[in-house]
Order: sequence, then structure tokens, then C-alpha cells
Amino acid sequence: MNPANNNSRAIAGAAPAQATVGENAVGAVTGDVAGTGGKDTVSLARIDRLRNSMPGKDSLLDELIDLFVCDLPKRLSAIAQAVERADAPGRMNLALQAHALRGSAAIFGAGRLDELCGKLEEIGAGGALAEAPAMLIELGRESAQVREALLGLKSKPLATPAGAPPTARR
Amino acid sequence: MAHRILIVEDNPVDQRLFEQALSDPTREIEICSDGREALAAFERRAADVVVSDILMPNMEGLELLNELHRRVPGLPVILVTRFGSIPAAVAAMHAGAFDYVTKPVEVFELQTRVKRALEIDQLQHENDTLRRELSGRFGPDSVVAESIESRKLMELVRRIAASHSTVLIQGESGTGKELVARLVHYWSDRVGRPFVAVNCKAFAESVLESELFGHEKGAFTGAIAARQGCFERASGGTLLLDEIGDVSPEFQAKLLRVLQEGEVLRVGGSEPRRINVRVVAATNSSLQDKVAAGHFREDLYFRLNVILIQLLPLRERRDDILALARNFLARMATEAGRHMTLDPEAAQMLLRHSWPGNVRELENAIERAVVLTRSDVITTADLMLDRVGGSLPAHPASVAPAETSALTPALDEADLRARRAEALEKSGDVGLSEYLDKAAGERIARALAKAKGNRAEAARSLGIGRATLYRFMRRLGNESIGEQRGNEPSEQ
Repeated sequence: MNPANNNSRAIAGAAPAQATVGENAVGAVTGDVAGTGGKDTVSLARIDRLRNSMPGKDSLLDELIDLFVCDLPKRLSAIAQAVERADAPGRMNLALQAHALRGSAAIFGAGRLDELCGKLEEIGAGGALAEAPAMLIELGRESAQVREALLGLKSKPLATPAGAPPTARR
Repeated sequence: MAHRILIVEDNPVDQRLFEQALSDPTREIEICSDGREALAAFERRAADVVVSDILMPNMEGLELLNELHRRVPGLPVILVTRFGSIPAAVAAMHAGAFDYVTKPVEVFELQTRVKRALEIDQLQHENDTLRRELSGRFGPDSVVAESIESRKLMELVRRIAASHSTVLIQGESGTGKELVARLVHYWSDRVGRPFVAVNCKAFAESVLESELFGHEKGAFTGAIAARQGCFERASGGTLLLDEIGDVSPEFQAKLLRVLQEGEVLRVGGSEPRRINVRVVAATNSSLQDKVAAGHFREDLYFRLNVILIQLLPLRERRDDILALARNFLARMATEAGRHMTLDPEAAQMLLRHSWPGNVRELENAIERAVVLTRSDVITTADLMLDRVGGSLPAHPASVAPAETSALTPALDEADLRARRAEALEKSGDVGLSEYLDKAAGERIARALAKAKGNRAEAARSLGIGRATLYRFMRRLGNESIGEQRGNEPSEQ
């Protein structure tokens, strides 16, 4: 079992991902998903634009997806811990972690995940913390869907074991 | 040198995307996860551009921006804000960010912003370098003024520079009118703004109007686009109108109107444009005499002659001669990687000469000697000063001692001796220096041909600096060495 998936479910108690790429890639990825308020799980248009904007770097999209998938469990865990702390440092960390995950979500046009992270970021910045636990469940479910959708878009299987950064920094 | 870019972002997907978007063989990219890490990286080695997220652990983007600007004011920092977050973008710009991009970042947008930041940074760097060079070249200590007359002149120029008045510079050809005009500019608070020099005599009357005042598209045949004139190009700076005494009465009237109104009307245009230019006019004749003779408008003369600088010919400030000669020699020898001196007799010859061509003639004589001699000591023979208006060496035999004045192999000593003898015979109708200039020009042309046009290589083979080669080429023009002599106004 993929640790990322396992972790996100454990935190948020999410059901298995509903929107996957599989056979119906376009519909599942870009179309409306039940309960998502019309937001995309991931946007193929956005991903195509990203791919086209970096000619000659065909493997970059795979690499970015790997990075997202590897980073996801850590982010979800940090967000859950921040909500649990419920103090000022916790709030600050909630805002930071949600902001970071939101950045990744936006790259892939993951509209619903982006929106959820935005709300959590606002909670971290002084919003109603009481709403956070319920949102964590939604976050877990949505991030699992995004993960599955992205993995379905990859041209190659996950390049590196989850948890290990697949690219070296300079 | 590679440009160094710091990417500050705590989300690994953005980190990798930014890195890939900005990677280029001419760049070095370092990624930091937060502001504190970025500051440490910057202190280890400064960056040319920083791209940073706004919200990060440890140190936020705006705080990082302030810290970076405390270290390097004006460092281009591009902040990454959330799409639609106008307050964050406004705050970023208020805080002094070079620019901002919004998430999700569009690759092309990020690349364009960073490219622009690097270009501006490069221009700023070049500008700083040029300013330093200029302040050195035109600094108060860099001007050779040995004679009392020249020292007084420099004092006058310093006082004039501080004012905003129009200046008229009169002096014989070669006395340094343009240099003085540049000093008026560089010692004024207009330094850093353009200095534009235009030789009014170099243009046909119809072209001069367009050159000075500009033209609109379609103003005349060939005006395929609108073009700024020198007045507009010198905006905020100084415009030197050289050879002002030679413009026609019709043009004088147009120029007077511009100076009176403080605005120019482009040829073919209908909207006057305000100008903020300090005008320095120069002439090698006496404008007063021209006014008296009815060749120059009196009202324009008074408009230009707010402050008059009269430059003395070199023969009337002899104390400057050796100081100038040594200065030219040191500069040209340094460019060639040589150490050269004047022997005492050569120095005496310089002092005896009457210098009808003034400082320009002196500079040319030294330059020619540097090009033509292999020795490190310039002798009277190397100077080869014309009989006309001055003193030639007393004995023609002393003119060409082959052991001290030899050209490079392509023009051997025998050839040189023959040419000198021939030149001496003809010196009644052809100036010797002119003749030798031609010989040097031919030598340079051969060196350039041999080096397939590579000027650095040609200069090396001639044993002179590249700058000396360029000066010689400019001075001799296309007749001797195939270079195009331009009439374009010079700008800095």
C-alpha cells in the first residue's frame, strides 16, 4: 500500500478516492465531481499548459507529480497536528502548511483541494478553528482523489519511493 | 559570469517547477526552503535575483525582502503572491519588490520577469561601472592642467558646471572644446543624464534640422518612422552644438526659437515638446566677428553667450605641452602593455613646436610615434613633426635613425627610410606627419587583413593597444584603412 494514501486516510478518515483517471480520464479529471462544488479534481487544461510551457522537458510533469505525491503525507500530517495543537503556533503552522499544499494544488489545477487549503489557511490566520476537524476529513478525501488522478496522468510509474525526494537540490 | 538566482519556496513542487523554468547554462540556481535559509545562502554568496514566496516558515517574504535590501539596496526581488491577492501584491511593490508573480505561476510569466530583472540588474551594473569610469576619466584630478592658464580655466569650468547657464566655448581647432563641454556636463548635477554632441557642420542644412529637432513619420521621403532629435535625446542632460558658427541664418532663426521657447517642434510635427537641456555651443571662430560681419544673428549670439569660455591655443600655454605629451604617452603605452618615455631632445622638440593643430596635433604625434616605433624611448625622429607652422629637426639626417624608429616587418626599415626620405623631399607640398599617418594606416590595414579583421589580434601584432588602434582608425578614416567615417552625433 502506498504510504501517502494510507496516511491521508488515517488522518482524515477519508473514503477511497472516487475520482480517478483510469478509463475515463477527461471526465474524471476535469469534470464535476460529486460534492466538489463544481471544482476540478485536477485540470487537464492547466496540466497541458504546464506541459506545453516547458518544451523539451517531457519528464518534468512526472517529476512534479512524484514530488506532490511524496510531499502529500507530510503536509497532511503537519496540518492535522497543527489543528490538534489549537494554539497560536499551531494556527501559524496550519496557515503555512495549508499555504504550501495549496501552492502544489494550484499547479495541477486541483481547484477543490486549492479551495479547501485556502479555507484552512484562513482558519490558521485567525478563523474558526472549530470548523477545522470537519474540513480535515474533506481534505483527506480530496487529496486522495487528486493523488489518484495525478498518478493516472503519469507516463511512468512513481519514480522514487514515497517520502524520499526524487530530485537532488543544487 | 553566471547569473545567480535564489529561489525561496517551501513547497517542493513549486521549487522544482521554478528551478526548471529558470534553468539556463548561464545561470546558477540555489533553492532555499525559507527566508532564513535564503538569507544565509545570500550571505554566503550574493545573488543577482531572488524569487521568493510571500508566506513561508521562519521568515516571510516581505521580511526577507527588507533584509536583502538592507544588504544590497535595489537588489531585484520577485515575490510570489496568491492569484487575486491584490493587497499582497500591493504590499510587495510598496516594500520595494522588483515585481511579483501570482500562483499558480505561469512559466512564461516567471521567465519573462526574471529575464527583465537580470537585464535591468546588468544595465545597472554597467551604468555604475561607466559612472565610475567617467568620474575617473573626467574627474577633477584626471585633467591635465599644468599651466597657470589651464588651472584657471579648470577653476572656471568647475564654477560654470554648477550653474545651469548656456555656455559658449571658443577656441582654435584641437584646443579641447568638446573635452571642456564634457567637463561642464560631468561636473554638473546633470551627470548620469545624456551628453549628446553634434557637429553642426557635418550635416546638410535640411538634415541638421531633423537631426536636432527630430521628425515625425512621413515628414519627408524616407521618414519611415518618427525619430527623436538630439534635443530630445539629451533630455535632462547636456547638448553640445559644435561648429555653431557655420549654420545658416535660416537655421539660426529656428535654433533661436527653440532656445527662447524651451521646446522643439519635430519636422512634420504639430505638437511642440518641452525640453530640459543645457546647451553648450562651441566654435573655432569668433562669433562676435561673425555678428559684426552680419553672418550670425546677434540675438542668438547673446542667447548662447551667457557664459563664454575662451580656450587658449597650446602655443600660449606651453607649460601644458610636456604634461599632456607624457599623459598621452603613458595612456597609449599602457594600452599596449609597454612602458615608454620621451627622450630629452624629443621633449625639447615638443616644446619648440608651435602646435597649429593644438592638443589634437600633439596627441596625434604621440600616437603616431607609439604606433611607428619599436623602441621604448620616443626620440625626435619618432615624432616627425611637420615643418609647417613649427620646427622640424634641424638636421634631416636625424629624422630617420633606423635603429630607433622601425616599423614591423611588413614595412621594413629600408622601406621606412625610403618613405621618410621621399616625404622629406615632398614636404613642401605634403605634410610629413600626414604622409606617415598614411604609412601607419597602410600598416594597420595590412595587420587587420592578416588578422582577418580581428582588431585585438591586429593590435597585438602591431604592438599597440586596441584603443590606440581604434583611435588611429577613426582618425585616419576609410581612405587608409577601410573604416567608415561617421557623422553621427556622439552620445554618452
